[in-house]
Amino acid sequence: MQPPARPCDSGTMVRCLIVDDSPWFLDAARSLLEREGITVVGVASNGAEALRRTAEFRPDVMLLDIDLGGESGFELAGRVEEDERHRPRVILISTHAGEDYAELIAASPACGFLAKADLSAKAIRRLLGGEAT
Amino acid sequence: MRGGLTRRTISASGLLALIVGSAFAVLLLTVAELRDVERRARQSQEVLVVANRLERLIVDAETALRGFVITERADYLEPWHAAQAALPEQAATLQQLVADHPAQLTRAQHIVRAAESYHRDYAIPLVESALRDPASARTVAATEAGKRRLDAIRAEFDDFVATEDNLAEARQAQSDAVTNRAVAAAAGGLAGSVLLIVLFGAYLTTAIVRPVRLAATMAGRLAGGDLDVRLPDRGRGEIGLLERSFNTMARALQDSRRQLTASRRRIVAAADQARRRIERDLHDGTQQRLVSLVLNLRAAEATAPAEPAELRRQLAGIADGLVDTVDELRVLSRGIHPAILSEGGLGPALAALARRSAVPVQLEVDVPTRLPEAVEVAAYYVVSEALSNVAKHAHASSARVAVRTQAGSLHLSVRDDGVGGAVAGEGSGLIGLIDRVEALGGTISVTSPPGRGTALLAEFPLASR
Repeated sequence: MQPPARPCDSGTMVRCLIVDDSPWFLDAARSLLEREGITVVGVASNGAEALRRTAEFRPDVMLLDIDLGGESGFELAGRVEEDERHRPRVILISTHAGEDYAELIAASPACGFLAKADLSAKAIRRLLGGEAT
Repeated sequence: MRGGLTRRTISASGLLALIVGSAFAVLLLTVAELRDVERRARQSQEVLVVANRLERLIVDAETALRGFVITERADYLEPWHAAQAALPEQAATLQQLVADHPAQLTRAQHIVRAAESYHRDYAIPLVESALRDPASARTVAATEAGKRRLDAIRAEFDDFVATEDNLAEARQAQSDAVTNRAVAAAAGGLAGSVLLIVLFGAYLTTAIVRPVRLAATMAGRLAGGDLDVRLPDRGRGEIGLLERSFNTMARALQDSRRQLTASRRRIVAAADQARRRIERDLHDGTQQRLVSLVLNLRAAEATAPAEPAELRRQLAGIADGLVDTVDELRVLSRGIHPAILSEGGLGPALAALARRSAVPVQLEVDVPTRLPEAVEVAAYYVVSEALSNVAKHAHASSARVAVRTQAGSLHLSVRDDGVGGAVAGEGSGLIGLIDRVEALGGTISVTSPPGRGTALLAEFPLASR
């Protein structure tokens, strides 16, 4: 299994963009993370919107759903990595189990994976390499 | 039917019968002719015998008469009387025998008339004269007259006999010719019959026996499942009909099998599509809502006042319960359709299977490109079922899964080092996969000698047939 393409850095203040095609999840995740001290600078429900918002808000981290309806989150992660304007850390999220996607996650430029049900500011900070506070 | 075998067989048999019949007819006619010639030859013999007898009677009569005239003894007249008495009957017989030959009949009548004349005009007057005056009868003139008459009669006989001999000779020649003709007819008939029988036999072999034997061989192969067999469509009559019917039947069987395979493929594809849709609906709807509720609960938990602590514990408990439900639903959803297969293809999907397996799995995947979806799904389920069987029944310490594409096919094997003795029958779960595999034109087999592990092999063609 390959290590993540690049290490996730921590930051004291985390600015986050959530990319998911489920409006329920976007609402719930935004509400939870903001309550837990993470700044959600925006949300997107597809790849094009995600790239636009990234350029616009320059988030530190992108929570990216693996399964974006007709689009693949892995593919979008690759495109984000290639975008020279701004490259946020990418954390892949899914309702599927991470072990199902182990090979694809390892091969992607993302710095980690979170099951949607396990989403929390603490988990994000841990993945970004910082101590949860 | 036109050009039918029946007509051909009847024609050939008819020709054979004609030739053999003609030969026998010629033989019969010849035999009849020979009998006729034979009868005539016998008749000639009889004619000669009777003529000879008649001549002797006349000579005997003349001799007896001469003896009587010289000796004057009355007992010399007895042979003369006997000859006289027998003469008319022999004369009649002779004329009767040559009645069908006018020239000979005329000669016979001459002889008879000469004999009668000899008797009437010479012999009787001489006897009477001798009885009256023996000396007068002994004159040279009387003797000379008798000799002259007798010579004339003998000359007539010679002529008659010579002619009859010639006739007999001619008949013999005719008989020889007829015999030769009969031998020629018999030989010709025999040779013709043999030739025709040989030709007929050769024709029957070529036109019937060989095509029927070939049809039998091909029917055997067809029965064995080889639906590609066809007969050469060049036979005549009923054989041609048989060949065309056989080919039609083989084509129909092949079409039916194709339709059946296509139908199975459609059924399997429809079922897969339905399962994928259910999985999508669960993922996009229920699972997302449940996960969102979990997050909402966590948010509520975070903002709930510290007291009473019971409320926070309850909220945390509900959230944990919901997370368990989400996990269960995920397992259920993966059983309906593995999303990783659509997302990552066969390699990552099999890797996930191997990780979840209760028995350690060594996985070798050499599949450089994505495969047709139906093949990926079938291969995934076959490996999934096989690993499940290994865990349940094989008592194995490890298993090895190898998947590779080669020569336009996907080759798949699952081997374990367990107890073996598995039967790919009820309870193995593989029976349900056979339809899926065969719908894709693939094959699946299990070898499981007791004590030597189990090997499952499957192969799928990658180009759609």
